[in-house]
Amino acid sequence: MRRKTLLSVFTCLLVLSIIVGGCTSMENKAIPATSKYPDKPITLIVPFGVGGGTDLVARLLEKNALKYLGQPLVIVNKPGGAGTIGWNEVAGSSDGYTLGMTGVEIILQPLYGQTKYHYLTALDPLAQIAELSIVMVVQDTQPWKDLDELIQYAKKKPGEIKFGHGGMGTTGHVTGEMLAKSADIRLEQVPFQGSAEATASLLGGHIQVLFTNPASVKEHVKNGTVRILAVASEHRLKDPVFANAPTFKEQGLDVVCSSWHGIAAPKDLPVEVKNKLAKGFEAIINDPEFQKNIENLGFEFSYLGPKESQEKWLTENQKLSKTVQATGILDLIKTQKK
Amino acid sequence: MDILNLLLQGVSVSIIPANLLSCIIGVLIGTLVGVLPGIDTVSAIALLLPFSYGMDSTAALIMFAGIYYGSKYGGSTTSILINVPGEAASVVTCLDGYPMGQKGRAGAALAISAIGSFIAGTIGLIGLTLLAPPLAQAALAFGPPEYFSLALVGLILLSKLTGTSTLKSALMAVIGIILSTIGLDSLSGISRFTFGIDELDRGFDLSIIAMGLFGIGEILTAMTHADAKPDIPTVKFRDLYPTKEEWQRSITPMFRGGIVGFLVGLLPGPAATISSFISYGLEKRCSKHPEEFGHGAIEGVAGPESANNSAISATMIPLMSLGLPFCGATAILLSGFMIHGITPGPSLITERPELFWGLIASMYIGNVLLLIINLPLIGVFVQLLKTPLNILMPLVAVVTLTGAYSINNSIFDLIWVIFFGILGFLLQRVGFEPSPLIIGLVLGPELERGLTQGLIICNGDIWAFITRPLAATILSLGAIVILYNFVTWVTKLNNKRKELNVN
Amino acid sequence: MIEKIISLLFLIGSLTYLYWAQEFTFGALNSPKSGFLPNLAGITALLLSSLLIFRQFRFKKTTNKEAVNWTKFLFILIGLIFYLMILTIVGYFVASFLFLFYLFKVADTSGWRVPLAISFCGSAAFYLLFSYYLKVALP
Repeated sequence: MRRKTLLSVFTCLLVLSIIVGGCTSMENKAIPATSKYPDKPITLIVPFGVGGGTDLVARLLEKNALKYLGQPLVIVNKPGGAGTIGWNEVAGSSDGYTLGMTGVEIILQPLYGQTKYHYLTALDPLAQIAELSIVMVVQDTQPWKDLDELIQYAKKKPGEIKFGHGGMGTTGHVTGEMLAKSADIRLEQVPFQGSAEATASLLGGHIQVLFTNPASVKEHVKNGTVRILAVASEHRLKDPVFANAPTFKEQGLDVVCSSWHGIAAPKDLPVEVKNKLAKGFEAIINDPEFQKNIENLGFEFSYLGPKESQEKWLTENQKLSKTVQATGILDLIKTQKK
Repeated sequence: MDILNLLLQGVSVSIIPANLLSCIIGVLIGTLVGVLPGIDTVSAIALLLPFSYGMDSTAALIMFAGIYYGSKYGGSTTSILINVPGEAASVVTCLDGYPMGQKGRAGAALAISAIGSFIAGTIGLIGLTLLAPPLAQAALAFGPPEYFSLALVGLILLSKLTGTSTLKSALMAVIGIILSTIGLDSLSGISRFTFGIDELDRGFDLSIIAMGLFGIGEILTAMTHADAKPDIPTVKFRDLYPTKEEWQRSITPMFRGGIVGFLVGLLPGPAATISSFISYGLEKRCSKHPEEFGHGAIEGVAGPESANNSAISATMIPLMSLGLPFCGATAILLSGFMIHGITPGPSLITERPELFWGLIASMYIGNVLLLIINLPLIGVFVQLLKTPLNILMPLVAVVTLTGAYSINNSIFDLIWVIFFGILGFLLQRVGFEPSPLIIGLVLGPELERGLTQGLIICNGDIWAFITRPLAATILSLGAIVILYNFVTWVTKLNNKRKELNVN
Repeated sequence: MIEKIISLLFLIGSLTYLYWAQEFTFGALNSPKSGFLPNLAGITALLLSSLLIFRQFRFKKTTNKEAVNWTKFLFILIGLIFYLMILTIVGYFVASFLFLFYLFKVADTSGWRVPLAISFCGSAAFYLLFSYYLKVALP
């Protein structure tokens, strides 16, 4: 008797869900009507965890979305796989209501291994929001007063200096290897999980050099416990704490590497939709309060429109793919697998 | 006396109505976050960040901190009542808290964990107040070789927490390590064991596995018992609170747990979770009746619950005096600071004393508030247990699944929660204890990272680890304990053999 | 019996894991690569599980556990799988409502009205809590 009831409940559920399911899935396939777009909230996929840099930028965007885009942004975190999980989802859903935050990993990850999509062709950038240059720092107790002294030391004792970075193949790692290559020295790399652990190891004297983003060492530079040797950007940083630090280029080394945050949409959106989104985000990003908040978080504000972002993607892609091969990072990662 | 003055100043900042109110809101949200499985501190704070722009920075930070330490109070509730850990740090509480609940001592367990949390939280705060900068410096002396040593000793000593066979526990711990190797590896930059499946790249979230093994596993057990309605012991009002004996047994574990948690909290990694395991192991070793552990020993609740709370206070030390967040929750707190234009670091205490001391004072107040909130709630929670199991368990199942979904917004994760639920259900039936698996999962990556990084730092010479005084101390202490265990085991075996011979 | 099956599963599991782990470079003790820990862990798991099976066959120990209603277990499993399947299709609220109601019936709740009412209130309350207050992007 009881089993009978159970079975009947079960079949009822089955039938019901098929009916309801059929109805809703047909609805979803509709192509966005461009004149009314957007007529429902837009999902912004953050391919990294809650509370990370990308997530915070996205949450800042969320604040003014209703005002400039006409609809609120719904932030959905899809962390994992250095961003690839989230971007695969963005690339795969061209309903016009799914956008994604981007970062330099969008270029780096396809270089290191097979990703489901080639993001540069599967996604369309809408804007770049901010940049983060990489800085090179040492503990103040180390004897090297400037970059040159460190290079001389490394030439005398190859492999003795160990540098830390936030993870294999990240921008910090790339910058370190770029320096080693262009100054023709040997530095040993120590991969950490994130910049906080790497910074702790530097402060404890376990590693001698650290390549990281300026925000994570700012207070220590200010305090004098950490000395900054060089900045891996085209120009000096605006922040007064770092303004005295020379760039690698000033010191005759071609080391330029930065990470950045942006927004991208899947490729096949109608032009009107894309333009609407690009305009909306331009307004959000250029809001003075937004700029101030971005700078509070330790980023350099740097807006690029869709076209400039696209160009940047392409040039960065060329440059980085050469760099990871020339510096041996690619080999290092490839030899981990048989 | 200087510090006392500063602290008094801080108190005057924190009792401004706006600040006091945000403290209350913070700890209330924290309690809720702690009680709900899956919803964690990080997402709760991230959610509130946009709302905090308009707030005064001190008030906002007081609120965020309140959510953070408040959540560890609530975490034990579901562990004790229904064996579903509300936070990863409360997994250990399931081991003895739930058996206590089944014996009708749920109220006592809840009360002890609330009081323990209060005492240890305060110990942690005193440490934070008096010793923050020097302790932060001391913790920096721990480098990769030291983490490796800690993880190795921890894995060996902690994998056998409860009374089941050593072989089974060791196997579970190794399986935990195996699970931890799945996903994108930051050390090598490649994905391991993902077979091209996107979602596996993320690796296994600790909470997903804990919710499956303990939560869904327990629901399956409870719902499939042939006699589906076990007698729920009726709880009288005076039984809600601990007896004198329970009190006496818990007071030392609380202080011990408080100190252990504080020390572990200074180091990177999921400090609250690790500290609760260490405290449990320690209590079992110190206890006069270790055989009670796993069957409702009050020390097994008092110690770990205290440890994870003082660990929380301790994680604020590297955050505030070095600006270094060592776990997800402090990372989001750091973001909260920075959004308000404050960069924590060596100069925070001198540059913004009113903020620093106000925050610390609010944490003292918040701890008292949490105790006041939690003690009466015990009665309410225990009433929940009167709900018939066939109503309660389906509801718990939905809450657990929803919470698990919310971690990564992933249906894929739910498949794993259910998979581990079934595994947990089966394992429990055949006498495997799932908690060593959690230990392996937490310490496995630390071991691998510590070893790889340490070897590069020591130029590939593993024996150089021993020349580092700290690593050597940790390793030799571990070796002594292991040797001692081995000797007692051998003598026990001999005694048994002799008895058999006599017979 | 289940005990042996589970140990056997662990044995097979660790064997396959070890097989897959061969894909990664082992490195050496002084420079471990990505295959280092997986290989060590795999071998240890293999050893431990074979030892366990050996012991289980040698010392026959039967542990008496409370009987389990396996039909119910199966029904709950079907319900869980079903819940996952319909979650994305019909949305959180409807799916949870159906799932709750189904579980109530599996758990022998008598009557129709009471479980219906509880599952409705329950799923509504959870939906409100998670989606509205905690801003979880539920399906």
